[in-house]
Amino acid sequence: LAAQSASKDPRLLVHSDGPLDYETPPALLDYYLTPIESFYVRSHMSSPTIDAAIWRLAIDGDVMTPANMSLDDLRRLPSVSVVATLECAGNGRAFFDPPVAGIQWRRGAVGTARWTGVPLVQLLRHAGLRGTAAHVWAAGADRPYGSQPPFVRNVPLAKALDASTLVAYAMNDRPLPREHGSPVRLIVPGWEGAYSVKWLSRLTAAATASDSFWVANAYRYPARPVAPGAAVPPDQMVPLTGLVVKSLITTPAEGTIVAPGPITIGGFAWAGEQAIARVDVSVDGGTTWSQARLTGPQDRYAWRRFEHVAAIARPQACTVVSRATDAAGRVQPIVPAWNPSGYLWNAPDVVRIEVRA
Amino acid sequence: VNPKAARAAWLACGFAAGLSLTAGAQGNAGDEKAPLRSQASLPDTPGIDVAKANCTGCHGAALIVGQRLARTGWDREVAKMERWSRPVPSADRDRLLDYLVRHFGLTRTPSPADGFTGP
Repeated sequence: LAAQSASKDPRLLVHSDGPLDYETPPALLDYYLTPIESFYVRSHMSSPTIDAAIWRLAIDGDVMTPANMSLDDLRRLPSVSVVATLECAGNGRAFFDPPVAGIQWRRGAVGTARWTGVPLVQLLRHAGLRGTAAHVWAAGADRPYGSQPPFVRNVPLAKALDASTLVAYAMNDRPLPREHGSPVRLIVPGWEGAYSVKWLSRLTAAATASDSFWVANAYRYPARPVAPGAAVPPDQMVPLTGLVVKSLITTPAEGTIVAPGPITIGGFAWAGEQAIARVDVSVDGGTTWSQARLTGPQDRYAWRRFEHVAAIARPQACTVVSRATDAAGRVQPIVPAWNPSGYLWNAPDVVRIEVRA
Repeated sequence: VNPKAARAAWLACGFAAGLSLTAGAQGNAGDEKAPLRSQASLPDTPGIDVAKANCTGCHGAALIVGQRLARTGWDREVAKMERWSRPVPSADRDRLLDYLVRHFGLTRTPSPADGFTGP
């Protein structure tokens, strides 16, 4: 019953093979649901191989009845499926200037899957949350390198009680592969990917936020914009939560050569907990814009397909740009705010193609 | 209850019996079941011995090869890794930084936040 490794598309960009950090080339993201084979992988430590038969999920802390659940226990509870886009907070880190340390993700640390499991709120209700509980600490069984601090993340209670926050055991209707957190992971839709703790081992209700390294030091963002390269005092950093508005051109691929005539520009746009309101596309580097058509499924926490047919009559080099706006009026900025860990890059997406007779 | 002890107990309990706790301690420089491998390797110039002795016993070489940091940035990264393993012997620390900056350094004016410690 030991977890099976996923088979991964060899076209993925291997940023690191210990820990496992794989990025998806945008051309492989041209589907509403990202196949497991091409789904990005982000890990902070060595990936554990967990025997699902002996795995247990502890639920404790500020609850009346602490629990210790097996995978079968979870599977016996009513399940729900949520289509959600996951994106690493550091997606696009490679584009920040000055550069910052960390995996140099470019455009493809993002993907969308159908996640199936039990709503976290159901497990917390079964355990009987005490009135003092204001946070849920989620611990993963990642195997630390050396004395790396254990992977613990903090979900504020309101988000933990959201009906779409899942304790998930399936991805695209298949058991979670090892690299994606087998046997069970958290899915916190709309929030940066590190909330969706893989290899989930423990949920602890608490009055205060976890003081884990991964909460108190990592995944934090300046409370106010700072100058590029500035050192930001820790007390002026706040936890990241929801993802920002963003778009990705998945067709045509960078460097494509096309014949003169109509060409379909397509991709996906997402905005964390917000809906996408519109996407504009340019084929002349942003000099002129056309509103793209929004199409395909509309799931609350998943990306939205956009398509635009551009007519390019004459041979030329074209700079294709996409720019999304969400329902709250947020627009992709021309220059994303520099921040010390290189999070939330969301400049308009750019792809260069050539029209050749 | 001593909060520090309570926290340590909480962490210790979080990991089920049967799971091996650490990877680096076993000299596992990569992930033995990695579906895809990196082609990245450390350049074979003076200092590679120090990098191998202090870095790639825990994590893979790709994690280093992908970075572009000024010396202050590398110093911070090395300090972070030292907190998570053991100090680089003082006689070797400058050689390690020389090696990292030579191959994986910035090619422009450094700024205070180059190499800020991020996950």
